[in-house]
Amino acid sequence: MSSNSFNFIRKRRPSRLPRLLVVAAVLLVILVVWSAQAPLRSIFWQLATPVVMLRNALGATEASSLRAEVAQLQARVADRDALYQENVALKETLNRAAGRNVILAGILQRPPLTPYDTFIIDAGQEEGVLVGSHVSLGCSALVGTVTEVYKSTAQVTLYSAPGSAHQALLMVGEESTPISIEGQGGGSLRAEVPAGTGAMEGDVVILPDVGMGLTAVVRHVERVSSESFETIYFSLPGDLNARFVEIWQ
Amino acid sequence: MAISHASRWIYAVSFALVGTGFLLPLWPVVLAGIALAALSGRWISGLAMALLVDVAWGAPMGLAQYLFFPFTITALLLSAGRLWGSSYFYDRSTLDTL
Repeated sequence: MSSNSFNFIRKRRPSRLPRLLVVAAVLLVILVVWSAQAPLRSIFWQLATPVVMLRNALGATEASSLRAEVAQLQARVADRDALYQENVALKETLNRAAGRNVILAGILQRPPLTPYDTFIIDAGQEEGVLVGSHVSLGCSALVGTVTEVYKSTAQVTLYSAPGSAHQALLMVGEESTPISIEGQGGGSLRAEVPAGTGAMEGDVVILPDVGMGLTAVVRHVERVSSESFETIYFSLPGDLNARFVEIWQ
Repeated sequence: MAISHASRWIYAVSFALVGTGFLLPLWPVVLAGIALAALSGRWISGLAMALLVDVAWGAPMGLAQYLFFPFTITALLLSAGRLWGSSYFYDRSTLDTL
């Protein structure tokens, strides 16, 4: 008979060592990954970029594209406003007054009700409008000058009126080139400049005035390799269907 | 060791949730995927996915930046919760019959 009449089967408590080892291993892995997160993140995004770009392409809709464009334009407007303020401050420092008296006027008639590229506005002598005043569609976008003033109305002739010519500066990057722009009607203008000027779509033309108003935007450049001149086609800035204009006194 | 049918589904669904949440991007969906893996006992896959997401997105901004790796911490807590719960709630009664 076995000396052990009573065999006590001792339930051995499970050792905690494996669990502690697992916890330590997990913490070690986390520590290693976190200490090397920068290179790991770089590798991860190199691999994930094509997938995310595919997702962006699939999710792109006209609405999202337009929202993105609006956001971009808002940023440009904010940048422009900041530069404008800086410009005004610099001119004040140089003792050149940059402020101006502005009269807001509504457009009563516009082409085609009026002869090509003229507006009739509801401000005249009574409001202090003067012949020769510059007219803007808002901000610094100049579109024409006041050519006739009546008692309570006035006629504005746009820079794009057929037969008109104006001296302006073509801004290509940081360089400015004096040019003569000619109106072609319908808000369009053209100019001939020496080949190699480097004008591109989106470049602007300004009037060499104290206000340095934006007058036209390059829409198309016609280059012929055998010619020593190139033709640039512009359009007036802004929307000619606007309801109001500003008269700069 | 063969993976059970249920495990396959849990791995697939949790991975799909984390991937979808990452691509949208919508962090609650990512959290749901990690929680599904951690709470169902597949804590290694949950932890791995959480680490991956934390490496990709980095630490959050504001006060939450002191969490450093929030998804990993969440996975660890959920896994610990699963472990604790298994002591008191899960598999407490056997299906054996006398």
